[in-house]
Amino acid sequence: MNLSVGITLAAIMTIACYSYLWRENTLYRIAEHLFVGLGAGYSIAMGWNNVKTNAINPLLNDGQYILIVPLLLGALLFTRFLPGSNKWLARIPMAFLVGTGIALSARAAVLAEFVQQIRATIIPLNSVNNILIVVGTIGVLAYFFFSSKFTEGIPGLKYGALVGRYVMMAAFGAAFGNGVMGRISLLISRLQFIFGSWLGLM
Amino acid sequence: MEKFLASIDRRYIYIVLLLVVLFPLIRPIGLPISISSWTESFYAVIDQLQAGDIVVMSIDYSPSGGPDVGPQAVAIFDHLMAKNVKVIGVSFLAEGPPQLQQIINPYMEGRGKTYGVDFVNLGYAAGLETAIAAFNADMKRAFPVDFFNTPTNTIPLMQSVTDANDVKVVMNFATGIPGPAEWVRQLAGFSPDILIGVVTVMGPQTEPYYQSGQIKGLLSGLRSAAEYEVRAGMPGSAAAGMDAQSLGHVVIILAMALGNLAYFLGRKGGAK
Amino acid sequence: MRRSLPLTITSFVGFWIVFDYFVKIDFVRTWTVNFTNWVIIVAAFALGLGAVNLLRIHGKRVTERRPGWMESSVLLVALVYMTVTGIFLGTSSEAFLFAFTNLQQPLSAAMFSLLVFFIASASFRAFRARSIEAAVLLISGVILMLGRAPIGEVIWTKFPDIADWIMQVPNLAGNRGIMIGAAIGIVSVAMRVLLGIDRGYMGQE
Repeated sequence: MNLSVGITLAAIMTIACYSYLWRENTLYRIAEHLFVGLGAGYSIAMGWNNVKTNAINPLLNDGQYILIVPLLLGALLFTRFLPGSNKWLARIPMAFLVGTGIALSARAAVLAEFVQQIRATIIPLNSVNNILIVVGTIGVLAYFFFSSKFTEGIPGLKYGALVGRYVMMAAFGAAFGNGVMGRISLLISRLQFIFGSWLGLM
Repeated sequence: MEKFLASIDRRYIYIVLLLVVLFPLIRPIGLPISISSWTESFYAVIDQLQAGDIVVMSIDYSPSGGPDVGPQAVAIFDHLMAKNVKVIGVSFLAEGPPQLQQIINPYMEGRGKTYGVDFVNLGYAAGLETAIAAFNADMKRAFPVDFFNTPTNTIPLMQSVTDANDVKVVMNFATGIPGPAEWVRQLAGFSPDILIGVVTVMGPQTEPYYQSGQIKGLLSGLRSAAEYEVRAGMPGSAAAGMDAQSLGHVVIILAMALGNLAYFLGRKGGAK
Repeated sequence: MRRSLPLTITSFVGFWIVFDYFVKIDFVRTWTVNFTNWVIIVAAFALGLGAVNLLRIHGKRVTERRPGWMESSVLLVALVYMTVTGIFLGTSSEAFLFAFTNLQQPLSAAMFSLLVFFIASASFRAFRARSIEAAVLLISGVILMLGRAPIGEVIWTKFPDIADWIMQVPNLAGNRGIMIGAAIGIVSVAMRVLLGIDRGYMGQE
């Protein structure tokens, strides 16, 4: 049994969380609040670290005065907590973040997720699997784009969308099976910690 | 019968699951672990790297999903060290750097490796996908200092790299965002091969990138980590958990089967 | 001003970055990289926003001794501890990493592992093949579970092959369709945002 402070604390935290399975209790609520508080404090520290290393230090040590702009933008984010009519100033940094982020994603998505995926679907229809992949992919797209009243009475689209629905259910089933698997892994790791690292029974 | 099932206290189910998963952890059964094609191709990319090659490992998983994806990163880091490949560790999720440090800690002292020469922990940059784009364009600018506040331009390993084209492979280990989608998008136009390790539940949605060749290898969850450990000849904690994984699945499947059996029997009875 | 200035900024940086994708002009490239590096700084500030909210809500609860003030004070102590050690001693300091490794990490992992118990309970009570779609989902899920766990292979050697087939054929088709659809979605949302039609990110007022 490993009674070092760190491991024992971690074990108590794990047991506190699992106590919820019996019923809601004070120990669990404390663990829950501790978790939220630690996470929030952690984020502030990491954020501050980035501000210091990527903006304040280069500004003060290397004279990169242009970095005053992002520093100012960052500070403006907190105007949302101001009383009165200056809250709107927080929109300026949000506008900058959104504009940059969405443009970077969209410009790359066209090639990486649209063109490349369509290209990968252009395959010879010489096996049952290839046919299923092509028909299934088109079916899902048909389900997304043509499952409206507009397409009622057009049999090709209707059956296409139906195929799409079953294909998606199989995909969701795969995600479900994998999801269960992943959650069991998490349980295994906690048990390995409690019974192995802490109690030394493994 | 359905009513009877519904009346069973859920805590009995919890206890059964707990005991069934715990048993093989204490007394391993030793079920065989076969290697899937996904793991095989991941392994092949790592295995053909030469001593001195530089790769990026991006630890973008949260501590919540860490036990599912972390063992992959551990197995691969061990493999890379054994091959004398140099690793630039980085993170675009705030919780990443300490978890990356846990992976490299065993090599910080002894084992013939040197921090800053064989591997480095660059820490974290906020901004998700945008920060990844900044890193790919100019690594030292996005990370002016490493996790220990050493200026990156004084770190020996960082002398020969500027952008993503200067590394052979980029690996992303993820539990969500940023993950495969963000990395595949932002590495388009750069030369390194992309390898992805994700939590099990993200495996299916990442499959299209693998099949299209945009990523060269895909690991999903603890099972893939176990396969990698076995393939690399270094069985570890992931492989040890596979018996428990098996029995856990059996419990869930039996529970579903029983529930459905009751449902159909009830419906048949009702129809009569 | 309150609307037009943010909209102008979004459109300006957005179209600048899109423009950069199609041309090779050093000046444009330099500023794109500048913008992305600025995002690291601005987004770092944003990491503190949630904490300010927490401080306000839980600080009030503690000062007014409202129900749950004990738990709230635990939250505040944890928040202050991480902030102070992280900022003054550093995020790679022993004090900071000790709390991360021995409190935050196990709490996080244990919280999320609780879900497996709820899944087990739900499998028993709720996952029924009430329709063909539900049956397809359940069968696909069960085969995946059997195929990817070592025991499936012991029961029937074909389980892993069938599970692989599900992943490589129907799952691939399903997720690829979703991915192509989502890509179209990203591009259309981007156009709406950059042209100022979608203003959801600016909030109310």
